[in-house]
Amino acid sequence: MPDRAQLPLALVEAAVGVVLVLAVGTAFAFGVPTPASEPTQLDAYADDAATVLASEPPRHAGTTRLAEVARSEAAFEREAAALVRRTDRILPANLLYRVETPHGSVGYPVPAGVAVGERTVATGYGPVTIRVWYA
Amino acid sequence: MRGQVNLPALAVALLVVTTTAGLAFALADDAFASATRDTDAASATMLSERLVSERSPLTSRANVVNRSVVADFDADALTRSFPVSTDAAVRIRLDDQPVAERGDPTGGTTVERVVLLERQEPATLEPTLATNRVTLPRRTEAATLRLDPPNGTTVSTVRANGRIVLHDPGGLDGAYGLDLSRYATITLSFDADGPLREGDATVTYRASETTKALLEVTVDA
Repeated sequence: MPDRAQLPLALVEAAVGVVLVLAVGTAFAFGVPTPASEPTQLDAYADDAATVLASEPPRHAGTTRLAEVARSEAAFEREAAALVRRTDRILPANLLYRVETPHGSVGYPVPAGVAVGERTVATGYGPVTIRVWYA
Repeated sequence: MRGQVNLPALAVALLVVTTTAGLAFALADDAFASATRDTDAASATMLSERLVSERSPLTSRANVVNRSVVADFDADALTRSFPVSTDAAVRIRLDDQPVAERGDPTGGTTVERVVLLERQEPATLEPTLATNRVTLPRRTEAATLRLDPPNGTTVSTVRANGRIVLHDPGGLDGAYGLDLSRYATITLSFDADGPLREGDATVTYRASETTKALLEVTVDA
């Protein structure tokens, strides 16, 4: 009798139901990865450094310090060392940073695979991006 | 015969589905319970964000904390300005010095912000006025100009970087407040019908000195 070999229909339905319920359940089990607190703190550092630099008066001419370094190649060459000193001074000692301007970058190369806080400030001469990470 | 076999199968099927559903509910409950646990980090981040923003009672502009205001800040002022944090223990420290503390946070989350501590002191400039112009050595948002031209000389107009800030055809004499820009170096020029000498104009402005500091905000709900 071919009938005897068949699985009871109720069990087949139950199996399908279990698959469906578990499919929804796994979404809760794994969940959405919550952002760790480290990037938040790093973003705060990047935000603060950008805000401070962007509202500081320049050393020579221009509206702010960041606008001054973004202004021209020559201005960047002249101000790069001072920008490094100032950024060093502002950020806590356990952080490394990189500041990218339209005319070049100062700071350290960004390593791969670490959490990085980032903030971009628009100046009149192009965007300036500040990245910070834990040393 | 087949009809009787289906009855225990149905019972087993119901049992399996009910167990699985219960398991899924437990998982969902756990997920929701752990999701609401992270409020400390969120409120610490938010509170620190508001403390350093330009509208904060502590700052004179974004990320620049006024030194004298911070000395008067306490737990009451914190509750008044940021009522959102009333049911949590909060501690605010500036460069390891306590600023305000409510409750006794034992753990919680700490967020560090980099700020500048500003001290403002009035500075006075008495230009020689050899060319009827004076460039302020520091950038400032506001300045007071005191004009005292010699008899017979009329100062009709004062310009800041070419923009007319004071004008009186009958002659300017006395103290005037000037609204200036922090984003430009200001040169004041005077239109006078006679020579001006040192002491005829005095500029008083607020020179700010800033030092770097770390603002720590701890929230423990």
